[in-house]
This record gives sequence, C-alpha cells and structure tokens, in this order.
Amino acid sequence: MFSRLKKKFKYWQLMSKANQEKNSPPRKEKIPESTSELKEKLRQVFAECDDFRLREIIVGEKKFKLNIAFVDNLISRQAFNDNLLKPLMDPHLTALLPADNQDKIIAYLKENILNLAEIKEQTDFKESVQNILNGESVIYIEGSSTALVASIKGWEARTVQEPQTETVVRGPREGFVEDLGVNCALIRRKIRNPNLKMELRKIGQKTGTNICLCYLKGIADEELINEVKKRISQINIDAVLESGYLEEMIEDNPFTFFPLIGNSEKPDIVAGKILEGRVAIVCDGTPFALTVPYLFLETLQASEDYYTRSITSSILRILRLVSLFISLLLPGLYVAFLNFHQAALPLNFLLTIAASREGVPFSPFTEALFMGLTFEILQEAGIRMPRPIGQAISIVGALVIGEASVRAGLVSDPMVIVTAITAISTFILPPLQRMLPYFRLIFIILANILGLLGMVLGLIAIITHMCALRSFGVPYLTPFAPSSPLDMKDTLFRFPHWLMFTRPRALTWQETGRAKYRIDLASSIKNKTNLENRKKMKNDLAKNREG
Amino acid sequence: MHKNKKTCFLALVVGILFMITGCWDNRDVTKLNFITALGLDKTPEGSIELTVELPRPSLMGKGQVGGGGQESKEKPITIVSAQGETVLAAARNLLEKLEKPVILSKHELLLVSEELAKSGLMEVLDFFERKPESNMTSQVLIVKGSPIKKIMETESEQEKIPSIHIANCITTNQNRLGSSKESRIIDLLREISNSGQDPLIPTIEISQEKEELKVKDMLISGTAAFRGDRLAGYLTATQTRGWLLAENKAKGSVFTVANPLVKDQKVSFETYRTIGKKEVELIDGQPRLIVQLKVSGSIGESQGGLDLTQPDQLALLQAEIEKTIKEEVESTISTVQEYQTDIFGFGEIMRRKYRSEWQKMKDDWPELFSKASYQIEVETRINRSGYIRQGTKSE
Repeated sequence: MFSRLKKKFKYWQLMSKANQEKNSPPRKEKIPESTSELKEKLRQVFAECDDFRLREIIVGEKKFKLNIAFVDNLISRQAFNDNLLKPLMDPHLTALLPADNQDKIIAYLKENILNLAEIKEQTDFKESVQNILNGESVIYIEGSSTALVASIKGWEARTVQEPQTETVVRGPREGFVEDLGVNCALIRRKIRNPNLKMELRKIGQKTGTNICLCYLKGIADEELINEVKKRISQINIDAVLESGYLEEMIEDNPFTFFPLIGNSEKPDIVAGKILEGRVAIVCDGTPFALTVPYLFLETLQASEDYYTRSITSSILRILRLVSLFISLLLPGLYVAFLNFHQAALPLNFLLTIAASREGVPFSPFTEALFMGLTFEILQEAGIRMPRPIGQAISIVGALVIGEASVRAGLVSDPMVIVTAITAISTFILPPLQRMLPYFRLIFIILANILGLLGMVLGLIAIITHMCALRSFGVPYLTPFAPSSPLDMKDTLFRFPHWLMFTRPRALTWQETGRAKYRIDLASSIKNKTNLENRKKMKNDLAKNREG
Repeated sequence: MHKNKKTCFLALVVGILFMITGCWDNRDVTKLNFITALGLDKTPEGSIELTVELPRPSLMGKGQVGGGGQESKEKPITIVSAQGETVLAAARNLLEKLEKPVILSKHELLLVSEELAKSGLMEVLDFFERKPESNMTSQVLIVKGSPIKKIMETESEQEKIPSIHIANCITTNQNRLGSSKESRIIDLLREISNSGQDPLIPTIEISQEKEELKVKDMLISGTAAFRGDRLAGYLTATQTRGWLLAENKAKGSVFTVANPLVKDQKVSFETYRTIGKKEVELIDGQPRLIVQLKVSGSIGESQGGLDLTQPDQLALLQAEIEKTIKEEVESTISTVQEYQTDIFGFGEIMRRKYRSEWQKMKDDWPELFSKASYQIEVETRINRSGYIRQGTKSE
C-alpha cells in the first residue's frame, strides 16, 4: 500500500518539477519613468488594498517628484518620519542635489541624504512590489527606472521570550520568535563566525514566505548542503505558514511515524546542531526552526545534557531510554503477562493483581484500550481547550480515570497505575510524544494475540523499519546501526566535553577537531621552559657571587 | 561467505527471541485458580488422592471487594481434594468441583504422604517431571504420621497462605538452625537418578493434636532419608544438622555445650561459617569415609564464668565444641549406615576417584557403605566472644 502511495508521491514530485520548469523565472518588468504611469500601475496592483500608502513629495530646487510606497503598519512610522521624510524635505540638504543626471541623484540620495542602515537599488517593478509587501519602503524617482528600497521595517511582534515547549532548568531561556530576522540574529549571536552562512530563500507562490538556510561552511558536509538546497528549490507550494509545511515537502519518507526532521524553538539547540554539522532551516512566521538530518538518537538528547555534569546527564539519558521502553511497551506487557505468562510473575504479585481484577467485567486488553483512549482524549482536550476552562478538564480527567472507573468496577487499579506511568513516561520524550500512542496500540493488540511472542515480533518489525529509514541520506539509527564507535561518545552516555574530540562522523568528516584534551600540552611546555630559565638564573647568580 | 555468516547470526538472534518468550495460552488471570500447594496421598484402595490448596485472591487482603475495615471471617484459602488412578486423573477429577480451571505453575509446596514415600516417589513425581508448566523449584515435604488433608487444612496466623509459611519455615530452619533441609523437585529428581547419592527430604508432623490446627502446632524439622525413591528411615533435627555440616550447607546454627569449667552450666556457640569436606579412601578394597569440618563462630552466650582471654580456657571450650560436633556427625553417619542410604554422596565421590573400582562396587554399594569405617575431623575456631570478653560477675 505504501509503495503505491510512494509512487503517486513521486509522480506528484515529478509533476511539480515539470510545472516549475514551465514557470521559468518571470521576465523583468521595468519601472515606469513617468509619475502618472507609475501611479496607474501601482493602483492596479494594489487595487482595493486600503493599507497601501503612496506618499508623493517634492524635493530640491528642481522640484523632483518622489513617490514613496509602503504598506501601513509594516513600517516604523518613527523611522519613516525621522530618517526618510525629514532629510528628504530638508531644503538645506536637498539644495545640493545635482540636477542634470538621474543616476547622480540616486547616488547622492543614497550616499548623502538618507540616513538609513539598509538601502538598495531596485530596477524591477515586480520585485519592488514584493519589497513593499515585505515591509520596506520603495522610493520611486521621477524620470528614473531605478527605485530605492529603504528598509524601515517595523511591525508589532512578540519579543524574545522563554519558549513554552522546551523548558530547561539550566541553560539559556530565550526562544525564537515569529520574525525571521530576529531568529537569524539569535543564531548569529551564538556562533560569531563568518563561516556561519545564512542563505535567504523565498517559498510559496501566494505567501512569499522568507526562509533562511543556516549552516557552518567547512563543517557541514557540502553534499548535505547541496541536497538541502536542491530539495528546497524543488518545493512548489502556494503557501507556507509554518515550518511544518517545509518539513513535509523535504522529508525522506513521508509515510513513517518517526520524525525525520528535527525542530526546535531554542537558538542554543539549533546552534548546537549547526556546530555538529547540521543544516538549519529557519522559516518566517514561526518560532520553530528545522534541523536536518535528524537521527533517532536526538530524541533522547536534551540541550541541558550539555550544560550539566556529564555523569548526571548520562544517567538522565538512560532514564529517557528506559521511559521510552516503558511508554512503548508497558500496557502491552501488562496484557501479555496477565493473559499469557502468569507463571512468570511472583505469586504474591499475581494474587494482588488477581484480587484487584476480581469483578472487573473486561479483559485486560479491553481495559488497556479503554484507558489508552481516555487518556489520549484528555490530552488532546487539554491542548485544544481555551485556557480558562482548563480546571474542568483536570477535574473531570482525574475523576474519570482515577476514581470513577475504578469505583464502578470497570477498570482495575493496576491498569490505572499502568496508564499513569505510561503517560508520564511519554512526556519525557517530546519528539516522540505524538507517535508513541500508535505504537503502544499496536503492541497491546499484538500482546493480546500472541503474548510476549507478539511483542517481540512487533519490536523486530519496528527496529527493521527504523533501520531502513534515512534522514537526508544519513541512516536513522546511526551511530547504533550502522555502528560508529567514535560517535558513541554522545549517545547513552554523554562524555565530558574535553573527551569529545570529533564531530559526529555520520554528519561530517570535515574539521573534526572539537576539543583539546584537558592537559594542555602547550602550557606544560611553557612551564618547562620557565623551569629551565629559573635554573639558568640560579647559575648566573652563583657565578656572580663567585666573581 | 561473510554475508552468509551475517544472515545466520541474524536468524539465530531472531530464533532465540522467539524461544525466550516461553509457552503461551491466552487465559485471563481472573479465570484461573492458582494452586499454591499440593498434597499426595494413597488411599487404602490404592488410588491416589490429590489435595490442593487454592488461594482466594479477593480475600487475600487489599482487594476492593471487602471495602470496609472489618476483616473477613472467611478463610483466604480453599482446600479441595479428589481421587484418581494417577495424579493427572485425580487432577482432572478435581475440576469437577471447581468453577475455574487450575494452573500448576505457582505451587510452592508438594506434600507427600509416608505411604507414597515408602512405595516409591517416582510413582507421583513423573507427573511433575512431564508437565511443562509445573514449578520445578517447588519444595517437597514428607508428611509423617498424619493424613495429608489434616496438614493442609491448618491455618497460619502469620501468612495468608499456610503453605508459604511452611515453605519459609523450612528455609529458615535450614539456614538459621540447621534442623531441616530444602528439597526442591528438580534436585530431588537429580538425586533419585544418581546412583552415588540418595535424596534427603524434610519432614513435617503434628506435634500437638488440637481441634483447630495452626502451623505453629507442627514440627517442621528432621528429614527423611531415601534409598533411590523409597523411604528408608527418618533423621532427627540434630542428625540433619550433621548432614548439613558435612554437605557444606550449614549457614549458621547454635551448638550448646557443657561449660568445661563449671558443672551444670552451658555455653552456646554460634557458627557463622562452616566448611565441610567429604572424602573417600579405599584401604585394602574397603572404603573409608572421611568428613573434615572447619567451623568458625563466636560465643553467643556463656553461663558460669569463662575467661576467654585465657588461652587454656579457650582451648578447653574449643575441645568441648569439637567433641559435640563430632558426635553429631557421627550419629548421622551411623544412622544412615543403618538405613543403608548414602545421603552424603560418598558413592559419587567414589565414582569420580576410583572409577574402575566403582564399576565393580556399584551394585553392592549400600551394603559396602553401611559397613564402611569413618573418620571425622573437626577444627573449630572461636573468632569472637560477642560484645564482651568476660561476663559481669557479682562480687
């Protein structure tokens, strides 16, 4: 079934590629020189756009007509008044405006009058319209087919705040915002290196969303960079509202439960991934940046692992792995042991469970399904509901799951405990949180049919599937399969930073030096020379005395 | 070739994974009766009577069924018995009286009557050996004197399930007192099949006849010595300890000896480490049994004055203890020689040491064993005298 869907998907991909070739880059459109023509054209483009503004001013002794076009509320009024209108309308400044040549005027405006950080020339009309929509102000000059684009963007945006999804006890608390520029700056602030490349792209025919590829040149694999660029250039979509759109368009295997592209809301995490040789894709309009390639290992890693002591974080990693297995297998194991392998349980434990199951009308299987479903409904409701009615959900949830179902004799006590432990374990691994319930369900069904044998079969199937997965060409289970002993330093155990000599081999082979061993050779040599110097001085002193 | 190897390895791993999951059958726990103890007796007509102990989970304590605080007057266990030509037949007949099918894999205790033990244990043990789900680590007990049902209907004040109380008693008695011996089905089967060693099985008997019997009214000490699978005779608690010492299984026990200095006063010696060694030597074609013991322990209690700082007093005490231990082991050996059962496994040592001679002796080994001379060497070390060196004396 999947292979057919895959074929269809490939067909779509090929179709979109063909379409893209058809719509080869549109021809350039010149900016009209005459003011009236220009106004007519702009009016056509921005018909019924009441937030579009066109400000006409007359500059200098020669009475030049300048048309400044912008979209209201996308620019900063303050900057517009102070840095654009004020110098342009100052007769002292504009008095020296050369009269004869339009090019000279543009150069003079750029170099001498407009006190703005970013200003560039634009010759294409369509591009200039795009600039206006981006929140820039476009200055059309009468008699010239070149316009000036002044960047005085300024719109209402969220400030940098602590993200709600990836909270930490220790570590930076800033998170990405919805603004691409701010997000890029946040990454740049972490990696102050000219090799950190940031390539802007525009995706989405209707939305024209800006995205930015961030990578460290010299560390990220060239092939990987090219692959990411290739995939992104092949995207043919009309709207990108969130990075999830991109994720689906560029991932290797669209029909798997496993996340094949990472996302994070925190600049330090993204910076860390970039430093390991990954490519980050920051998308305008969302605080979630994507990182590729994504390995299964990353679901067990947390940013805090690198900020706290290596021993404690290693223990926490193992805890995460254990909780992964708990949340995946526990309800299934419960069903399997109670239905098939009673002999494997200690007598006292068995009797306790049998006692609490006495009178429960459903089999463990039905119970597990019912409780699992109830929990998923509660969780979804908890996320979707409006904040003020949150209390109601928690009260009803606690009553339904905890008290009432047990009291009514519909569900046994151990099943409630199993459900609770499973649910809590799920929350330890946010990247897998959305896929674990489905696997859990599969395991419960398998356990009810074949007991532990069925669960083993299920595990084999899942691991085989994981082995077959690739994320941007990198096997999903690296460094476990294919095994890469050198990369084991950052898997279940997080080695101290001074022992992490190399970058992950699966991602990059370039410039692997990462840390020097703690005993700095250079300084020990220095000490040695100091010692020799001192000896020499001693000798000299002795000689002097003799002398 | 290399690829082949990899495939083979993978197939092996997958195959093992399939096998370790064990046997299976989809049955709900609430629809099963767990047998915690089995009793096997022989009726005068010659058929086998099977008595089982079934716990009732809802009365086992914290079930939600009881709800309120008051303790239920009902017994948390049920005793059911049935008869049949064989154990399996009896077990099938048992199902007539039960609401739910029984599951055998959880029994902790197997009680066998004296009559059955005399006529041969394999008559009933074959069932347990053959049945895949039977619990091979279950303890075996020989019921001395009274009918099985009476023992199984006793109640325990400390445990909900009396059979678990009895099973725990045997373990404690072995480890703390040296008066009993754990015997599990799997070990028993091995010993029965071994011509060089005979099995020793703990016994239980009613020490106080009462209307309502409790576990505390029973004597869970002493053992029954077997020849092959047939009962040969009984050993007392002290004789059992003699066996445990020689067998290197005595973990700790107390020897009370006469105070060598003061008349009618006693000293208790608490052992915490015993190393027992058995040896057989052939002297002129006659086997000689040697038991070497190294016992170390501390003085747990001393009546009458005894200055343990004095080497001569210490030596006296040591000699006294050695004598007691030696007598104990001697009594054990002489008794089993009388019964003609080699529970020590001297025959097994012979088989290993004198292979060719053993082939000739094998058939008359019980005879030879019963006539063999023995030698017991005991070495005692008093390592500690407790918290004090010398007891307080009234001036």
